[in-house]
Amino acid sequence: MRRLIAIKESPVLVLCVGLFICFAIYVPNFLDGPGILDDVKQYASYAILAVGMTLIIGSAGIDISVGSVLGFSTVLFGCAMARGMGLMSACLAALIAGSVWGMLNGFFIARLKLQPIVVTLSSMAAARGMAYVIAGQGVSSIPLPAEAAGRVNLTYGSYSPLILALVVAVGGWLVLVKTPLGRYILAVGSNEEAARFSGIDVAKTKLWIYSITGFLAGLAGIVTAGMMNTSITDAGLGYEFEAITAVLIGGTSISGGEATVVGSILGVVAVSMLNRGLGLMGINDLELWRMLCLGVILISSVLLDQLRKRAMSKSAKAQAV
Amino acid sequence: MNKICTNKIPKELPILLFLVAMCAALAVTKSTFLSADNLRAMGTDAAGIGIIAVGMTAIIITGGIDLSVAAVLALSALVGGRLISDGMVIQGCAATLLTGIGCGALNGGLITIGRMPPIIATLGTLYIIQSTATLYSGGQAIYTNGHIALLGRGFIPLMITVLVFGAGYVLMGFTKLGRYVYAIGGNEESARLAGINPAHIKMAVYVSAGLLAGVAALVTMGINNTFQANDVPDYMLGAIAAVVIGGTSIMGGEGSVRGTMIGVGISTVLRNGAILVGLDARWTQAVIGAAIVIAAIADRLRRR
Repeated sequence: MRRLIAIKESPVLVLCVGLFICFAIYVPNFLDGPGILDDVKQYASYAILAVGMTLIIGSAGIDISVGSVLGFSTVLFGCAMARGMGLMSACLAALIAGSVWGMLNGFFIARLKLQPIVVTLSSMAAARGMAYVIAGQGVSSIPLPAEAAGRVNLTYGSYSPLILALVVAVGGWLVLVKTPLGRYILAVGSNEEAARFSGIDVAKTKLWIYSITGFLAGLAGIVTAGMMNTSITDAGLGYEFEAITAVLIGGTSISGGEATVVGSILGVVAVSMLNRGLGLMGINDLELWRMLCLGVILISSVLLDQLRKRAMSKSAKAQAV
Repeated sequence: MNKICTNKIPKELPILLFLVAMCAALAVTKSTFLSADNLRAMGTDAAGIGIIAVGMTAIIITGGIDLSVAAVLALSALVGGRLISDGMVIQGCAATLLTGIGCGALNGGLITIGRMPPIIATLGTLYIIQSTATLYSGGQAIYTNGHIALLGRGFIPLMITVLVFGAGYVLMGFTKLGRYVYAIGGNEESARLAGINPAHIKMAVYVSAGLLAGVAALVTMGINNTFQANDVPDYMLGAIAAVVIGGTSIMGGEGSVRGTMIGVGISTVLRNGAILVGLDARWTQAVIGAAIVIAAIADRLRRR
């Protein structure tokens, strides 16, 4: 029991298992119904965003611009394809665009020392605005050219968004757990001043994580365009909150210093199971019940996490005595 | 703290000058800018965001944030609006305000008793309250049938907004409560040691913000004569943007209601000016985003 309490992913793991058992028993077709792959695939872009968000929240920052950056790179990708650019160069353009937005965020936050929420609030507005601007007057979606769409589908065949998300997750886990950058992120997150005194280049660390997150948002933009065969200017609207929700459900602490990519992925899994389960139950107003459940889960998982921490400090005290 | 020192430049001066310069430029180049119709339109445009921005200022000064404010506005409008459309105007208005207060108390309770970080608590209640609002209304618009059209007529929305700002200014600048709000935002632990109960103050702040969301709901319904659950999604970011442009520090402990008033003015004039000069509407979001960053940088420079 004590060992279970010490694992920070335990609340989200309990949640996942609980949701799985409930839905598997009460919802017919939950496990074997049609479209399970399509359902799961929808969450590839969330998972990609959540990995970047984990690094940022672990450093005690926040990035609410990811949804808009996703939208911007999706539109850029669509425009590039529509003008006959090759798939590779269009992808490259989208990835570079995402990274540049991320770098801008990082520059303002790390070098000019502005608050992350202020900076990313404004880039959230700016990136969405620029997406509308490059899409052109009154254009809300850019279909990919037919032959290009075929190629995108080949490249992004049925499993590839999932594989991509998995690669990103493993990469994020490696960065966080196995590299100096990961250590620096958590050090900056738990105490920035102490991190600086111990010789960590705080500004460089922040610049890196915001750039990585921007890059991942660009990647998620390509995945979104590829799955829908079209680029929508409103793509990614509100994704930032869903990504933050998944990360927090997963056990990453909003005050920084504690982060887990595994937990975040489990958070995305929990959210996706919730959506599929509710969807198959045939409820009207699906979106609303989904939001209601998300809110309740978010609040209860954070409360659960606090109980966990209290129990941990109690058992630590007991051991000390 | 928020005391005016006569020998120092007030921190709101740069943004005030910016606002004045913007107005002057528009007044000179566009004769319609100062016309009564346009002023009335701007006042109406500023009302909803302006009213909730006052509550948001107090919350941000305590070091918190409220992501649920637009959802609270929507829920209280729909709860009260149903009564108002049936002709029960007084009960409807009371229900609107009480719903706002209730939602504020929920936020405050989660943050003080549940000890949750404000950004998480209000992200959770954003989901819960927004979906409750839509479920409650069944996605249908409610119509107030002109029963509270008085609240939206002419310059009345602007006057209500100014009144709310006046009340906020006095409460934050000249009362004990206001002092305590700055104190817990500056350093909660030392405020607690000085004998202030942070939980009570925060509760009061979140409940007032809820009440103001209710007031904004009434004014919005008065202006539009109708309301739908997803009418005001951008009010939350608009309010936070106005507070931040107004120089309130997102870290808490610093800021002012007058700054927020100027912030609301800047974002309103920006929107209005973009329309007047025929700037493509698609650019306005990008421009407002840039304004937030410029304000933040200016604040940073001033502090050095």
